[in-house]
Amino acid sequence: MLKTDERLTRKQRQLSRFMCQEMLYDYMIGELDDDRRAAVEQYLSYAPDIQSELKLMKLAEQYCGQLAKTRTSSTHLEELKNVKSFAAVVIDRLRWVNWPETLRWATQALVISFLVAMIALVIPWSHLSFKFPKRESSPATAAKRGDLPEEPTEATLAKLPTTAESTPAVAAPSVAATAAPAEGSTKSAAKNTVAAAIESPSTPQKTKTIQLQGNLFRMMMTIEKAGELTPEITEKILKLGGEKAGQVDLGWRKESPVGSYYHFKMPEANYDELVKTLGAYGPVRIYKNPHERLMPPGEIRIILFIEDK
Amino acid sequence: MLSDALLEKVALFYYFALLDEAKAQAATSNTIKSLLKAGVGESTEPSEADIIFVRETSEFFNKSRSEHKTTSFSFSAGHIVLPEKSNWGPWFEFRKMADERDYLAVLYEKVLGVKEDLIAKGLKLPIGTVRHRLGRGLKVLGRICQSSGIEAIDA
Repeated sequence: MLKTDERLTRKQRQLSRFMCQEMLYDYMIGELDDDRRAAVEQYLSYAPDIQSELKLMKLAEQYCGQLAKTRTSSTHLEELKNVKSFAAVVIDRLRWVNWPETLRWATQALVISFLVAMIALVIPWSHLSFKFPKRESSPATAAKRGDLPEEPTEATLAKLPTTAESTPAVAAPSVAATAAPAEGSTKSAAKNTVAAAIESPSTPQKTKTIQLQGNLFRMMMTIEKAGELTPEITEKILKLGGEKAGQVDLGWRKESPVGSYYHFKMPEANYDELVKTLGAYGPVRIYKNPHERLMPPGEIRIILFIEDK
Repeated sequence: MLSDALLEKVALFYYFALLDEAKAQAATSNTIKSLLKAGVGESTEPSEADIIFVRETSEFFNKSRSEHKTTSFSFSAGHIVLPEKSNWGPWFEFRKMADERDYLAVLYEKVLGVKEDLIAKGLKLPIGTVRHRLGRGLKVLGRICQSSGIEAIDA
């Protein structure tokens, strides 16, 4: 039995040549335990060839130590610092500031137009009510809006033409009629559609399409002492069923040009009689103008102006 | 961004391994990209960076083994600063004569200063294998140095 403080004595390790060669590097760098280091040292004491191998290894290590002092130049090191990974290069290229000018502008334009298109698509236009002005309007709606005068006012009357030369300007598309209108001419009043220039306060001149359904008879006379004859002519018109249609009384005296103004409606049947009656005072120039106001069947509307000679 | 020490290590590896400046620069650039892609940066632990460095460089070296058989020694001045009285002759011979595995082990450990355990991890080998390669490589290099007339400096 061994006592506890006694240590087993181990026979010193005898290395083979191969093992010594294998452990030579570990021996050189000092990585062997004590027993193995002693064994290697013992072997080296009688193996000069292994000793020379160890010297060669140390020589090589010294040589490597010299080479390890090699350094890269600072300029080359800076160059190497600028080497970027592929992803970094791509990211760098994709940065907005690195885009070509034209591509940036094109992209901005594309994005803005896309946003505008998206906003236009998203907005519920059907739920929004916009009142846009219509290009075409009927006489009724035009009259409602006040674009067309319903009746001649004193202001407009003052501008009335008195001569045949000036008439076409008022009724450019008019049809001159020197003869009596045919029976039922108001029924057959052409549903002409003409473009008439209408003045409005907001726009200096607007072209509107107005359906001219009825007719207006304009009669012009130039006689001597028209003022004196006015009550007589008025009475005759009243006898023929004439009735005031405008805002002024029949035979209203106009200042410039001086004359008597009649705006009235009467039975169509008395038209011929009226022409005869007026013809007795002097020549009558009659114009039949298409008009937006449609008269009731059997009635006609006449504007008569008797100018003082 | 890689640390200066790691950048220099990569550059020197290829200068010593390929012994051709143009090839070394191209390989260095590629390896730096690989290291950046592997997530190595200035904040990476030096030991971890060394392991990745060994892995990436050895893989690149093994892949392009046939392309860089050294037949000549091609360096122009400027990119590396050689130590005084340096003699590249024995190293050039070593590159031609030694087994590539032994050659790489010596290069990593004795020239570039990468620790054995990190080399072992980078190459996925036992540390004993790395030491064995080191011993074998040093013996070959020692013989070349001796025949080249390089003398040992007694400590």
